[in-house]
Amino acid sequence: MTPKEASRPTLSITMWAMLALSIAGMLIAPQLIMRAPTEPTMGFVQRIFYFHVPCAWLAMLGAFVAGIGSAVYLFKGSERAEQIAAAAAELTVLFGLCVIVSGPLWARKAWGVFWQWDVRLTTTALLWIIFVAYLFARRYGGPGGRRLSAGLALFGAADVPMIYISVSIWRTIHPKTSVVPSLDPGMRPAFWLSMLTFTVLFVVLMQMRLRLEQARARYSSLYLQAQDAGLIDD
Amino acid sequence: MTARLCGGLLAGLLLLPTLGYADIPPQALPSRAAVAPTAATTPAATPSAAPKADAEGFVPDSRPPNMTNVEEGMPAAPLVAGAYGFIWLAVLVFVAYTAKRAANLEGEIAHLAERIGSAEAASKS
Repeated sequence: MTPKEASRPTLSITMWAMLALSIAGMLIAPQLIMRAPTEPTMGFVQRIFYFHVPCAWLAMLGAFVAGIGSAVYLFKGSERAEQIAAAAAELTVLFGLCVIVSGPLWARKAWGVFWQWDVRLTTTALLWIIFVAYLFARRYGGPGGRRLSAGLALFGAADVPMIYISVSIWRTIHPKTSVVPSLDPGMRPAFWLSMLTFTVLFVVLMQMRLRLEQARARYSSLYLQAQDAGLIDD
Repeated sequence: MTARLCGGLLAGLLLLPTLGYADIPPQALPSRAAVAPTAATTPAATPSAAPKADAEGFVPDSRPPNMTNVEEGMPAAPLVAGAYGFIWLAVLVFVAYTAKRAANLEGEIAHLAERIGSAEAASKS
């Protein structure tokens, strides 16, 4: 295998199969979503729920993975854990952005306003900002940037349980976590298929992003090798 | 691989609205009657029963308290389609950006490997 092939951030057959599964889910889920019963109070706009919740779940999952990876990197010095944390952090920003955009569109119709400084909404926005800060710190933080960003990821991960329990502790306009267990049986297939589709997509994107990190590590090692050989000036 | 990935995602994105909306029976779509007070209660349907403005110009709101949003006249379908479209657009942009970074990195790695390889060959000879 040439160095180029070794570093190429391609997907394995399993990942291609998962991507195909995810695309199939994307094609089937909208049909199930449209056939699901219409929620009587909010009406048609409630259908945003079927992809707003999976995005929120993945943003929190990404933050949790980034937090664990960062903790392992900080306390054990594992480079692999740092790469996993960086990949997960980027996906947290991606899915967090989807939550922050889809939520207000739903709220505009259901609540009459795009945004409320409600504790659930505020903690979610905070999570997104923390992980945007993570990416900036890692990219532009200089030699200590990765450690600084790892510290930020710990704060982000600590925000995840806060987001989840916020609706149970404080008075909030946001629906409670009991919505999912008490979902109408007609809504369940669309919801769970959507959750599965998005989760599989998350795994594929995570793998893709992780391979990019591995390629970067390979580039760094080659760069040092070239410096040692006097091919690159310091 | 990247092109295929992007093409697949783009095809999915383009197909989603067609598949989603084409099969909906009219009764499944939210009608004003399903989510809002009946037409008979709205001022437009019964102009004679419309509440009159008071001395200060305020008109009493005859709608039930939980039905104040649905009569805003804002259609829900564009909001749903907008939210869904945004999500897939964001995923597509992410995939394209990641693929671009990977391609750039690949080029730089190949370039470096080639320079190291030729330097090693030169030192041996």
